[in-house]
Amino acid sequence: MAFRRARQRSSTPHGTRLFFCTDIHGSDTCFRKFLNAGEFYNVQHLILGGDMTGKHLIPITKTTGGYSATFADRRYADLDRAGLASLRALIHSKGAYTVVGTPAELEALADDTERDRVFRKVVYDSVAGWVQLAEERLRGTGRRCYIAPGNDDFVEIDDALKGSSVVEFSEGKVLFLDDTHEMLTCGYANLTPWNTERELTEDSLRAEIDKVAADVQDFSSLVAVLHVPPFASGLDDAPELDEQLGMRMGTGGVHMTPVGSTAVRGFIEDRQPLIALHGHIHEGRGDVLIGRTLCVNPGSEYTEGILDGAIVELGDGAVLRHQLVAG
Amino acid sequence: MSSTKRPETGPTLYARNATGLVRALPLWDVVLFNAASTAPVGAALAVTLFYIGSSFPRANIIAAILIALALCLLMWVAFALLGAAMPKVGGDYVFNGRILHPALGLAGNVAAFIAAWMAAGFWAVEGARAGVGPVLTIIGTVTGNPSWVAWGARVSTDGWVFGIAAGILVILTALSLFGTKIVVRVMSIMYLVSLVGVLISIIVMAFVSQASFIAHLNAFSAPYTHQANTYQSTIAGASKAGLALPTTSGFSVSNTIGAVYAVLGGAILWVWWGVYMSPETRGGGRRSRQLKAILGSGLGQGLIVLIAALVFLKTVGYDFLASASAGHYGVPVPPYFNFFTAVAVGSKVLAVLLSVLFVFAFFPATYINIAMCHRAPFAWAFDGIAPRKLASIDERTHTPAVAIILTLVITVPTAAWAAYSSSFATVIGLFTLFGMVTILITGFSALLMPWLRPEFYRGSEADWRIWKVPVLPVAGAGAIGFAIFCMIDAAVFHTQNGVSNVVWMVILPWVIVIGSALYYFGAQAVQRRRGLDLSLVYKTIPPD
Repeated sequence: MAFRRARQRSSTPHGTRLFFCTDIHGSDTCFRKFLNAGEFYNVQHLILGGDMTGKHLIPITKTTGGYSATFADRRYADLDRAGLASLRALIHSKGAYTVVGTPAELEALADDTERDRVFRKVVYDSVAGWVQLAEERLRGTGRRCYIAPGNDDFVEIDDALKGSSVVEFSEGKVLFLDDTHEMLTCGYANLTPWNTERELTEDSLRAEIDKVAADVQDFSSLVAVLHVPPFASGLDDAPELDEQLGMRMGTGGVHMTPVGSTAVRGFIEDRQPLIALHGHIHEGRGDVLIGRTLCVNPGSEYTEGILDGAIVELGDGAVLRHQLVAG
Repeated sequence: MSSTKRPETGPTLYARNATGLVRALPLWDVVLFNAASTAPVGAALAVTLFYIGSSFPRANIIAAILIALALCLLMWVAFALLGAAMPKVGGDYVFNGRILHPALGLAGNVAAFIAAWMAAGFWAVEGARAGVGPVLTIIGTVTGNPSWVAWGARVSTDGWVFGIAAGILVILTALSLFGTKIVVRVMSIMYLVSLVGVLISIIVMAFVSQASFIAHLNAFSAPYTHQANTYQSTIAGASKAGLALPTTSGFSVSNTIGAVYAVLGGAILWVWWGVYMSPETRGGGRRSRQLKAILGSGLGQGLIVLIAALVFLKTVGYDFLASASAGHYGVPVPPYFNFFTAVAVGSKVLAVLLSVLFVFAFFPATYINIAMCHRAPFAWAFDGIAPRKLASIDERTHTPAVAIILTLVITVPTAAWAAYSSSFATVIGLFTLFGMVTILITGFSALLMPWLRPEFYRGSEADWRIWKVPVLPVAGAGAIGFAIFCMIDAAVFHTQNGVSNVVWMVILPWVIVIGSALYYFGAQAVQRRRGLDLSLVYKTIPPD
């Protein structure tokens, strides 16, 4: 990845280094890599920009013969306890959750309310487990870890993220990364066809961002962590969908369309932060300049257990270098 | 408040409402998209079938096609599984770089890039030389219009051929600048239109007897050849000139094996280039999708070529096909399938229609190679190996404009080379060989992934077992065997493949590999001085 000198107002060889990733969607492997990224990439700040929770729940049936499930088109039958542990680790590494029960217990998941309750519980437990793991790995290292939710994350997980002495819950806040650089975080997105947990109309989203930005002292050195990318930036191209949420495809391939936020774009154009870090659109990996603001979307390959991210080096109110990596 | 819902897949999985959960594309769309991304059947038939008849005398064409298809299977599976595990626009560059080493990923991709670069010039020139010129000649000949025949001869001269080829490249560049969606749509339509021409030819020729074809051919040819039986005189002329024919001498096993390489390079090998389209085709990250898309388009193309060969050999006859292809046919019309079809039914309308449809095949054949030239440098630039400017995206059309323009700049001279110089035949003989370097490296990636990158392999779409046997390493071994077979085949039959010096065939691919690796390490050193560590781009973070 090119190490661009976006603005060379400083010749500082080593500034404040941060690692930003997003949209790991429950992948245990990606989260573990995220925690190790500080030492691996020699950065002081680790930032997880939202959509950390998974989308799928895999029921594992317990019978007298053992444990059985189907995952990724493959059938696992009559596993013993060691096999069960191995299967659960595999499923969790890919970003899905597991629920183990007898056929009668799992039958209860057919009920929408019960299934929703179970889903929220396993997601909360998973995030709480991650926070505990972060405390074990990062305590005493001197590295700071910021985590904020995205539009796909249940609101309940905020409680799991708050109150840690190692993980800083950065949503809706302006925090100082160093003496010069502030970081603003907003995990809300514009409206999606899926009616997800944290969505706002464009007007409301702009108001939300502006409300958080009221605490910013200097926009010229601001790091803006805005989950949804700016509209029509090239970081927000996603498949165009029909009424049944199917992709539209013609002879030109899948119809792609910009789905980013006009509110986010408006904020960036008006306030011109130093750098804006985005996610939300997994296939939108790349970077682009909007005015003086460097906008970065590291993308996501969580299903492959690959942690896509961006290493950014800040110095004296400038982006000294940035590099997209896939760890 | 989000809700959860039972998915279509039943009680083995529950999905909640979350961004990005969409229905998969119909498989046919993906297969068609992949097929359209490879050499169109019409162009492949024209260049391969007729080339084999004259260059590999007494080769059993049907056997060569079947062997080629069988050889491709494991290689296609290797690409499909790796493409499913890592559905990235860089294709082999990404998965070879991640699994083996970034330098090897670059080396394989550079080899594919050079193959595509040369092929783009080749297909653009063939579009003029085998497409536009012959179309004018055919139309003029069947309608009795000497002006069209004269124009056909005129545009077949080197200057016109280069001009038309350059025009094709400029048109494709302009379309590419308008956006990927537009250019791929136009190319897909052209592919389908040309395919219609091929299918019409196959259907027509299937129902025409050889006796009827000979009678029609003789009647049509008489004014030009002044022979009552042009069919037999063509065969006799070829025999007299020393061309061995299977009817009198039987099939040649060695030339059949030699022809396999020609079938592969001209007709069916390149469907794995669909992996470069994985992100666009969606479902590219699913094993079943990738397998069906690559194997479906490859076997589909192969099946059409096989049926076409069977039909044409039945109706036209091997001896005449080979003799006419070797230049012993006295009519000023190239002995292509579209012309024979029109002659077989004595239809001027069909002759004109099939000729025009035939020309459409050369545009997508050129485009897929141009697209490869756009995408590879874009991926290199994105990773800091090539100048960053190559990865810049036009904000309005979202296309890599600089890479597209640069591709035009480098392919036009290639077209000039192909049009004006006979030495380009050597290059064409080599370009397919460069693709073998990519396949060889990819084969090693597939073979070694379970051991070199167990964290990526385990539970991934590439982790597929049949009767407890892991498929990926087996497919990798098959791909390696495929590449070695092709390299040896190309070297043994180097003269027929247009290369006089076999040493070049052996050395040049490795020059590419070593040169690319040296370039990579040089780029790494340069970027390190700027504070960037290129080795981090695909370096795996240990999770524990």
